[in-house]
Amino acid sequence: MAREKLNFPDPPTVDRPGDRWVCGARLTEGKLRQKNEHGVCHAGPSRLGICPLADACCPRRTWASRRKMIGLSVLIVFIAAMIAFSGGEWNATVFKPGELTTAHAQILAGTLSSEKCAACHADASLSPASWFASGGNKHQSVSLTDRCLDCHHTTIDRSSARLAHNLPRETREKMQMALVSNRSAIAPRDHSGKFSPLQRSLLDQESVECSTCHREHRGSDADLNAMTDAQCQTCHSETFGSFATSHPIWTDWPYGRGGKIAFDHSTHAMKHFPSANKTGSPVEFRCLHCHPKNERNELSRAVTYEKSCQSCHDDALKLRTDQGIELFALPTIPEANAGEISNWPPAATGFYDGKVSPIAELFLRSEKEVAVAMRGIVERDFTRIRSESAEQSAAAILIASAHRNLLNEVAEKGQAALVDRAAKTGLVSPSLTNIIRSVPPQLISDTYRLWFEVSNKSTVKAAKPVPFRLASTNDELLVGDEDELLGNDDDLLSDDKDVLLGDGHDNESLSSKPKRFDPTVNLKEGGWYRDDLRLAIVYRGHGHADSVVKSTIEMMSTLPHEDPVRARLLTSAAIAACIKCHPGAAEKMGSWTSPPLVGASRSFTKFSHTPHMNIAGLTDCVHCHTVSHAHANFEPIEREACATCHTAKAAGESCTTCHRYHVTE
Amino acid sequence: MKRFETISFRTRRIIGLSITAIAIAIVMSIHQSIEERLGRASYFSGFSLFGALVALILIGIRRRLPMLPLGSVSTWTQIHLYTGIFAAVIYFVHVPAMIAGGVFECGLSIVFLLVTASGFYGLYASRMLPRRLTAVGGEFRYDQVPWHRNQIATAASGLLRSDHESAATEVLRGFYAKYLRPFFESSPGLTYVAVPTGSRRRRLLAGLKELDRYLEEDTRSTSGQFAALVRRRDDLDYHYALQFRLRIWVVVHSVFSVVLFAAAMVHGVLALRFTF
Amino acid sequence: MESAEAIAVRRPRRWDEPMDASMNDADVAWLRSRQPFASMDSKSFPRSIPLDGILRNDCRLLRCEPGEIVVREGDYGNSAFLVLAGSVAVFVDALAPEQLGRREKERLNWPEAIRRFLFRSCVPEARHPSQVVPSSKNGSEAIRTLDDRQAIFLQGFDAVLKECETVSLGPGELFGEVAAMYRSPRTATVIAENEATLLEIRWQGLRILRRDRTFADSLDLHYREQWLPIHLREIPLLRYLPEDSLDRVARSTQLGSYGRMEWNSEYEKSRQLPLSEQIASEPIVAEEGRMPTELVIVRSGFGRLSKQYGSSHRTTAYLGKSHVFGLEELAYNALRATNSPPRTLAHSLRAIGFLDTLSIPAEVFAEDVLPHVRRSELPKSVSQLIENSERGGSERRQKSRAAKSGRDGGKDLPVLSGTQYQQTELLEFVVQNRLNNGQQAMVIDLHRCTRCDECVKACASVNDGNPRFARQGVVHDRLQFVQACMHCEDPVCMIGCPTGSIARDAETGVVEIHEPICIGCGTCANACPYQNIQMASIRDKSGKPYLDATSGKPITKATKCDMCSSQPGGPACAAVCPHDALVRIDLTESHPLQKWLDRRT
Repeated sequence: MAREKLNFPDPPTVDRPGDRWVCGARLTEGKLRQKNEHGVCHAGPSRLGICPLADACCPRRTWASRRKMIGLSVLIVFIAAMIAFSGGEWNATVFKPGELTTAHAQILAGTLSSEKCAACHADASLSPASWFASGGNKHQSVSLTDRCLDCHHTTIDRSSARLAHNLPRETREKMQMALVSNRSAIAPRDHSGKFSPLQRSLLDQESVECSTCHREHRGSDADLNAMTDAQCQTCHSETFGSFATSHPIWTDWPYGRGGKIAFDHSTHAMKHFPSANKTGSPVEFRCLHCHPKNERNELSRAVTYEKSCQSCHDDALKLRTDQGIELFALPTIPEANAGEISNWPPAATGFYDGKVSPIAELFLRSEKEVAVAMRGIVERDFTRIRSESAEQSAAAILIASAHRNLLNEVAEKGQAALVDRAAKTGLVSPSLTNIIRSVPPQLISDTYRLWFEVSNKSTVKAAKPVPFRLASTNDELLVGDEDELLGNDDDLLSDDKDVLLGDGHDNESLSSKPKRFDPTVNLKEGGWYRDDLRLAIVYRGHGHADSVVKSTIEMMSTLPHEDPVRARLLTSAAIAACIKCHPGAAEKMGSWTSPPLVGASRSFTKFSHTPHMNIAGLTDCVHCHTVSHAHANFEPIEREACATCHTAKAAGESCTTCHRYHVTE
Repeated sequence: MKRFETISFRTRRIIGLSITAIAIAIVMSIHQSIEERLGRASYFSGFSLFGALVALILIGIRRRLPMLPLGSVSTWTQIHLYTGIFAAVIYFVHVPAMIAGGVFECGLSIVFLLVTASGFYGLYASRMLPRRLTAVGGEFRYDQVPWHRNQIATAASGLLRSDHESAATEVLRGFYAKYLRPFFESSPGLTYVAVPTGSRRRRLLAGLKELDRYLEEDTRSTSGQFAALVRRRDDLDYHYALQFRLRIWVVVHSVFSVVLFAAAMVHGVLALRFTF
Repeated sequence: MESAEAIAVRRPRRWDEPMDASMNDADVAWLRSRQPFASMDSKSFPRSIPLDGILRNDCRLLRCEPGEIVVREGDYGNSAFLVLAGSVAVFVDALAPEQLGRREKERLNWPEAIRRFLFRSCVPEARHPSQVVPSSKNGSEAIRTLDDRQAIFLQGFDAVLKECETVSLGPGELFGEVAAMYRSPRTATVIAENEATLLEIRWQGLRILRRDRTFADSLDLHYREQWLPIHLREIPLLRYLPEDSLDRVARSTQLGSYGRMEWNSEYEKSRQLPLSEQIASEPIVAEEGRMPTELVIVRSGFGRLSKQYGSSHRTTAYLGKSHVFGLEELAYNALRATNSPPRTLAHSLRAIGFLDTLSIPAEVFAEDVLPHVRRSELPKSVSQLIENSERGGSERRQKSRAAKSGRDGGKDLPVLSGTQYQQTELLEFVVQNRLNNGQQAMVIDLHRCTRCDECVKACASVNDGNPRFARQGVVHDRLQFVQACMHCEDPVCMIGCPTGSIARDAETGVVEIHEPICIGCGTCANACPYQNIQMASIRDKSGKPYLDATSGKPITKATKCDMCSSQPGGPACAAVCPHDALVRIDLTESHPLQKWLDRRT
C-alpha cells in the first residue's frame, strides 16, 4: 500500500509560533484540550509554561523561545568571563594580542602577569572602568618609544631616537643636497610604479616611533626588523625598483673608506711578489696572508707589522728612525752678538747657522717676544739671516738667549719647566707629556753645565776651529765621501753618519780629546743623548712603533695645518718614514691600525664577507678585488658585480640587505 | 531595489560577486599602501572589518522587525552573504596569524572562524537541503512534527484493533510489539538526526516482507498499511532531521555572531588603548 | 473499502431547501396579485418549475426599517430586490465606509506598528472591546435584529439623506439584478427610506423568471442600455472603437452564461476527479475545429482553453475576466486572400465553474472592430498577413491607423487572449485547484524554502500573535500553493455577507473583514472553497472569552489574511522570506508566475 493512500486529518491550522510555550496536549491530540464549554485551555499555557488545567499537560517550549534561551545564556557566560578576566591577575596572558619575541618574552618572564602589560604600555589597566576614563592624555607623557629606550638607550641615543635615521634634520638635508648635486653620477633608474602620491609617507620624520617599524606581538619567532623596500623608501623622494637596474651607481666602494695603512697592492703584487715567477720570490703574494679569516669566516682588515711587513722593511725602517728627532739644538751666532749672552759656548759662535728644532720651537713660543722673533726668521733657519739687518740679528740674539734660558729652566726645574711652557702655549696633550716624560732631566742639567757654566777659556782654543764646521766647510775632505755617498745605495741615513764618523776620526787625529759619544754604538736600542758636536739633544729611535716618535707624530697631528712646526716635523726623516705607511696618523690622532670595518661604525651601508665566503666562486678574493695596473690600488667593484647574485630571486635585493636604518654620524 | 528584485538569480550572483571582488580589491590595495607608508594599516583593515560586522548584524535586526518597510529580508540576505565573503577575506588581511596568540585573541579568531564557517555551511545547506526535502514527499512543519508522529503512532496502534482473532494476527501483533511500536512511539535517535539513512526503514520493511508468508489476505493488507506507515514515518523523520539541521546552524551562527560582535568591540577598545 | 449493500434514498430535488421557509401560500397569492408577476403568463414556465414555486422557494419578503442598508456599493450578491411597498434610496455618489459601519483601516505609522509588535498579547485572538461591536453613535444600534435576521443601519440616516444625491425607487421597481445575474459588484448603495417591503429574489429564481418574455426583455433592455457599453469599453481590444461602431457592436453582442454560478459548492468534489473527466464535465462554449462565428469575450468567471491531444484534451491556457477567444482565427479569416482557405478554431473553450461571455458576431467584428485594432496588438500570423496586403496599401487601413495614432500615447496593451504556460501540468494543476482565481496567491518555491517558518512567525507578529496562515497547502512539484487568502478575482466569500463586513478595497482589490460588524455567521468561511477563512472565538487581553449577552454563546469572528494592508511594510510573509522562496503573486495571469519561475532557473 502506498503511503499516499493513507489519509490523515489535516494538521492543526491554529498555532502561535511567536509564543514561548506550546500546549503539550496539542502536539499529541492535535487540538487544544477543551476543559469545559468555554475552553479555559483555549488560551494555551501561561507565559511561564504552566498548563491552566487541573490534569495538566506538560507544555513545551517553542523553537523560538528555545533559541532565545540558548542565545542569552551564551552571551551571559561570555560577559561574565570578560569581567572575570579583566579583573583577574592573569589578564596579560588572557588579553595579549600575540606572543612577544623570545628576547622580550624572556625579559618579562619573571614579572607578574598583571604587570607584564605595564612593562611597555604606559597606564596599562585592563579593567573595563578605565577603558572609558580619559587615559589618552596620560599616554602622551610616557610613550611606548620611551619604554623601548629605557633598555635600548645604549645602542640608540635618546635625543636622536625619534629622528629619521637618528640624524638631525640638517644632516639629512645636507645628504639630500649632496645626492641632488651629483645626480649625474646616479644612473637613470626606473620608478617602476613605485613613485606615486599614494606612496607619500604618513610619518612625521622628526618623531618616528619605534613601533612604526618594529611591530611586537607577532609571535615568538617573528622578525622585528623585517621591512619591505616600499616601507624603507616611503620617506624618500627618490625611490628605486630593482637593485640591478635602478640602484644608484657608486664610484669607488668599498675602497678609500679611510684605509689606515698605505699599502700599495699594485706594486707588491706586480713588482715585489710577482705571482708569475714564484721561484724568484721568497713568498707568494697571498691575500689571506695579510687578511686572514677568523673563525666566523670574517676577514681581518690587516695583520701586525711583525707578521707581514717586518721581514722586508725592518732594517730600512730602523735606519730611518735612528736619525731620530731633536729636542733642542743651539744655533750659531756671530761672535759679535755672542758677547751679549753671558758665556755663550764658543762652539756655537761663527756666522749664522743652525735651525731651531721644531719641538724646541714649541717650548720657546711660550715667550711672546721670542715667538715674534722666530716668526721674523725664515723657516727658523739661521743661515737665512741677513747679517746686515739689525732686527734680524737682534732676533737671533733673542732666540739664542731663549735657548739658553730654556735649557737653564729645565736644568733647574726639570720637567716642570717644560710642562709649564707647554701649558702656556696651550698644547698639553698626552703625547707631549709622553715626550716630556721620556726626557731625562739630569741629561739636560749636565748639558747646561757643560755648555754654559764650564769656563770658556779652557775651551776657547779647542773650540776653534770647530770640527763640526770643518766638516761642513772644507771641501776637499768631502770628496772621498762624495764617492762613498754615490757608491752607497739609496740609504741616505747612513752616509752622513759616515761623514760624522769620518770627521770623528779626523778629530782624533787633530786633537787628542776624550772619545766622542757614539749613539750607533752606545745607544743601540735608542734613547736621548747629547750631541756635543752639534750642541743638540737628540732622540735616537729604534725601528717600528717607537713610542717617542709615535708620541711626536700624535702631538703633531693635533697641531693646526698652517703651523710651520708641523711642516718641518714632517720633513724629518724618522717621521716621514712613519707617515709613509701611516698616512692617517698625521691627520688623525693615533690612527695607526686599520680597525675591522664590519660592525665598527654605524654607517648606512654594511657589508660582511661571511656569507660571501660560503660561495665557492667567491672564496678567491680577486674574483671581486682586482688589483689595478693603472694606479696603486684596486679597481672599484661595479654594481653589476653584486647584481649578478643580488636579485629578488637569489641573494635578495631588499634595502636592508646592505643598508642600515639606525646610523650614527 | 525593484530592479534587483526582478533580475534573474544567476545575473544577481554575478553582480554580487563582482562587486564584492572590487570592494575586496580596493580595501586590500589601500591596506597595502598604508602598510608601505608605515601607517597603521591594521586600523584600516580592522575598522573596515568592524563595519562589515555591523552590516552583517543588521540582517538580524531586520529579521526581527518584520512590519517595517526596510527592504525585503531576501535582499538583506544577499547583502549579508556578500558582506560575509568580504569580511572573511578582510579577516586574513587583518590578522598576522590565522589564529592569534593570547587567550582572548585566540578565542576571538576562533569565534570568527566558527561564525564564518557556519555561515558558509548555512549557505550550502539552505541551497542544497530544500531540494532533498522537496524530493521526499509530504510537507511537515517543524513545530508539528510531534503531532504528525503521534498521528502515525495512533494509526499504527489502531490497525491491529480488529475484532476477529487469528494466528496470523498474533504473528503480526508480535512483530508490532517487538519492532514497530518502539519505532513508531519513540522519536528518532541522535545518530539518525545527525545522519539520516534509510537503513532503519529497509530493516523494518524487510521484516514485514519476511512476515508475508505467515499471513493471510486481510492481515497481509494490514501489514501493507504498516509498511506504508513505516515509510511515512521515515519521511517524517527525514524531514525532521534535515529541518533540524537547517535550524540549528542558524542558532549556532547567530548566537556566536553576537558573541563575536561583543568580543570584536572589546578587541577594538584594547587595540586603540594599547597602540602607543 | 465501500460496502456491498445499498441504501435507498430520495433523490435530492430542487427547492429542497427554500430560500425562506416562512413563505406561505398567502404570501405567494398576494405576490401574484402585484406587478410584474400579475402580468406574467404562468404557461411560459415549465411544469416542473411553476411560477408559484419560484415565488415560494426562490424569494423572500423583507421588511425594512428606515435607514436599513439593503445593498452596499462594491458588494457581491446573488439576489435582486423588488420594491413592493414604501421606497428605497439609491445613492448616486459613494458613501464613506464609516457610514456603512466599516472602519477604514488606517495605515499604521512606524512607532505605532512597532508598539503593536512589541506588546503582542499572549492570548490567542485577543480583541479590544471596540473591535468586537460597532461603536454606536447617537444611541441607535448599528446592527439590530429585525424579525429573524440581523440588519445593519446607516448612522445618522436623515442627515446623510439630506446632503447626498439620491434616486428614489418606488413599488414595482427592481434593483440589484445585474450584480445577481452577472456576478459583478453592486454599483450603488441602496437604503430603505421608510418602512419598506422588498422581495428578495435569488439569482436561480431570477433566471427562470426570464422565461417570461416581457420580463426578460425589460431586463435585457435595461442591461444593454445601462451596462453593456460600459462593459465593452472596459475591454482593451475595443478601446479605440468610435462611438457609432461601438453602438453597432453593442447591439449585435450576444450574452452567454455557462456552468453553475456557485461553482464553489461542488468544487470540493470536482477537484478530486481525474482530469479527463473533469474536462469532459465542463460545459463547452466553442469547440476546436469548428468555424469561428463570433469573438468570445470573457466578462466574468473562468474558461479553459484546451486542445485535442490523443484521446483526451490538453489544457493550453485559461481565460479570465476580459480575455478574448478566437481573435486570431477571426482576424485571419477576415484578412486572408480570397483564394486561401479559412481557419478553424485552434482550441476549444470550456467553462471552469461558471463563465459569462459577450459574443461579437464575426461580420460585425470584421466591420467595426478589426479596423480599430492596433496591428501590433494582433497575433503575429495576422499582422504578417497585413504586411503582405500592405503592398497594395488599401487606404481604409491607412486612415484607420491615422485615427489610431496619437491616442493612448501609442503604446501597446497586451491582448489578453488566454495565458500560456510552458509546463502544461502546472497549468492544469492551477486550473484543477481553481488557483487561477487568486490575485494575491501565496506561492512557495520548495527548492529554496528552508522551512524556517519565518513567514508564519512574521504573520503572527504583525497580527497580534495570530498567524493568518499555517504554511500548509497543495504542492505541485517544486511549488507549494499555501492556504492563505488569495483575494480572489471572483470573491465567492463576499456573497451573502449579511452585514457587508467582508468587503473588497476598490483600488487595491484586497478583501478585508471589518470585524466590528462581523456577526460571526461564518457564511464567508463556508463559501471559501480553499478554506482560507477561519472562524475564531475571540477573547479579551486577559484571556476572558467574549460571550453573547443573550445566548451566552462565544462571539466568533472571521479571520483571514488582509495583505497586511494596515502595516507600513506591506505583506510581512513575503518581506521576511530570506531566500526569495515565498511570493504573493497574481495567478489570474500566468506571466507573473512564469517570470517568477524563470528567475530561478
